[in-house]
Amino acid sequence: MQTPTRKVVLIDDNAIFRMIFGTMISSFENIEFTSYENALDALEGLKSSLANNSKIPDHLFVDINMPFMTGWEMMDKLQEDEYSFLQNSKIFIVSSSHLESDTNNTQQYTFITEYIQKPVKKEKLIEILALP
Amino acid sequence: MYNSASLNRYYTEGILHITCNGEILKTTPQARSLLTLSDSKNANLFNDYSFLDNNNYNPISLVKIVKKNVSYIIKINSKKKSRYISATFEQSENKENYIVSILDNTDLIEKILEFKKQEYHQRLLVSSINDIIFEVNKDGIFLNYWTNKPELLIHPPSTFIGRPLTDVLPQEISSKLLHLIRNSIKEKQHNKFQYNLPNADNKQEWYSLTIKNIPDQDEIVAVVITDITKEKDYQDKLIFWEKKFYQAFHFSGIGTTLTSLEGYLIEGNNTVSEILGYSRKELQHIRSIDITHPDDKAFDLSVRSDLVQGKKNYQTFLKRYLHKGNYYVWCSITISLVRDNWKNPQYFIVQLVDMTEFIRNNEELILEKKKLETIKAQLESKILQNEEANHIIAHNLLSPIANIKMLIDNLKETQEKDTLLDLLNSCCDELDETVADLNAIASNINNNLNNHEIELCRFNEILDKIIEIKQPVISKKNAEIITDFQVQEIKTQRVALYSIIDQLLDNALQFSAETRSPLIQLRTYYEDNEVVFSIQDNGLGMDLNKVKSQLFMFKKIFHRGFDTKGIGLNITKYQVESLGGKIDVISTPNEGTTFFVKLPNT
Repeated sequence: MQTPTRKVVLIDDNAIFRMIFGTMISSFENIEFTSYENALDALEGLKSSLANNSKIPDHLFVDINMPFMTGWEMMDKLQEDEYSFLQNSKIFIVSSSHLESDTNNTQQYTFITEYIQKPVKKEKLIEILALP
Repeated sequence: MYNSASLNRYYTEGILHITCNGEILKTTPQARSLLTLSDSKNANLFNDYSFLDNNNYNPISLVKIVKKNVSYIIKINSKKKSRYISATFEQSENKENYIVSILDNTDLIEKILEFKKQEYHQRLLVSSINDIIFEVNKDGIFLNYWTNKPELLIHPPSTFIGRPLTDVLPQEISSKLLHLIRNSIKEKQHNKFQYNLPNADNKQEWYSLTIKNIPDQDEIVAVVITDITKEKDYQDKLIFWEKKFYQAFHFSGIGTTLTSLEGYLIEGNNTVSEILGYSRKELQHIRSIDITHPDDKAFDLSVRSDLVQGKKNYQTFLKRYLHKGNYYVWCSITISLVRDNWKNPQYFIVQLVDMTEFIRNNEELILEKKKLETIKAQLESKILQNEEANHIIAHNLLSPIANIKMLIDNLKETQEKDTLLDLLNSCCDELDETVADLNAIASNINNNLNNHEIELCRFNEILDKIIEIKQPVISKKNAEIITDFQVQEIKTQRVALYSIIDQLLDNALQFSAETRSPLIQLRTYYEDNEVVFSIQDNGLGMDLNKVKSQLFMFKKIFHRGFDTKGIGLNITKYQVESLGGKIDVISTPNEGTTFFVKLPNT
């Protein structure tokens, strides 16, 4: 019996990270991976995938330090009604920042599952994406 | 019935025959004349006349109490002059009737009454004085005394009588008194002296002794002793207060003067001379307004005028006096006006406190405070810079390093080593770029720090140079640049100012709206003693609620589709801060942005 396909979305302006992350994800089976280079594009893309009846992401990985809209600003956006379709998605922050100002911010958004500090280890991904 | 004695007195004495009830039966013509009785019929002596007691001259009613062989006085009132008639009653033979002999005694009785009046007044006078009056003869023997207050002296005055004053008074007083008594008798004049004696409580009592010669008396004088302890106390207190006032006036640390309405010195203490450098004599010929700082004259005069007009009772204010040494001294002065009983202005009381040092200290304090505020602002900006550096490390430096670590992890497992090595190279490039950007900012800051030279910079000149260089972009975008420089020039660091204007103009040109030609307005004006340079565009604008906290930070980009590294405003912020200024922004999306650069005019 085949496991159901899960959808993973990464939002990060750093092309190299997007690439490595993608490579790491590709080793998992039955994963549909999409990445966006900024939050504005991501919000747009997520909304249109809803309109197209595409799959709602199961896991969202969001960087903090991005142009036009930071990860935190995107978190604010996600609290708005039009993004309520993401309420069952698990949301992770991925950032190289070890600053308290960033890690503390996580506590303001109860819907964030975890703050993952870069570099992301494969073991961490297995832990998150491992089958129940 | 009339004896010869009666007849002898015919002309002065009148005789009446009356009943015991006073009805007049018979009269001699003289009696009628004395009693001014025209018709004796139906007349009644008791009812028709007022009687006085022969001893005390008080009114008395005779209707029932008439006694035989007793004299009374009949008072006959008249408009001109009252007359007093002596009346002696004798019982007649039938015991029912009286024979009354009357005699005009007006002159005598008037004198007696006058004496009585004088005696009464003297009694009043004596009872009103608290002195003791002694009669003393030329040998110093106390003969008599009068007083209303016998306890005035230590011993009762009655014990003095008949004794020589050398017996009862201390030697130095008695010898002086005796000398003055003889002098008074000889020279016919009054003498006076004061002495003090301890009383029973060992408290000093003060007495005044006045020796008065008595007219027509060559042997006797009156010695009046008065207790003047209270007066003496009062006088002592007055002297004490006067002394106190003198001390307060002359030895006060506050310069105190009485000045005439024209401003000339009437009286002043040494402190005034110390403050102003002029002697008291010199100040009597200098009007205070003439040594007042020109800027303080009008106010000084208005205060004096207010006082004269009664608008105020006093006023305290700061003013500058020209010291004799030709420099100004700051004084806090309190001025009030003294008026006479008729409310006419008499003179001013002016109190001066030298505030020069205080004001100098205060100015220094303000300067120090300003310095501290600058340091505080610099420190706050350093803290922000420190936070920013942390941010740069956390995101811009650690991010590629994280990537490198992940790539290395992947390298171990993958066959596509070349691709990953290329990516590794890209990571290094990214690190390199971040370090280069940081370096650019650092060198810019260093450059500013090294170029501390402050010079007069004309906004027009700087802008002209920038526009000259940017002309191709300006032409291409069809941009209009308007200037309104209310402040023409500023003393600051030229390179930094150039760079700030250059960057802000760059932004205004770059982030323009596609639908309209750029209109850029540059202004300068004063605000709170500082120079504000503002640059307003009609470009894309921003939602500051979102971006303001990040706007001036390292590598932050807010507009899509532009070739920008996001370090321009970061550098500008550092430059403004290095000049001791502040940068602020207002913006509306799709309408435009205005940057305000507030610079101190050093």
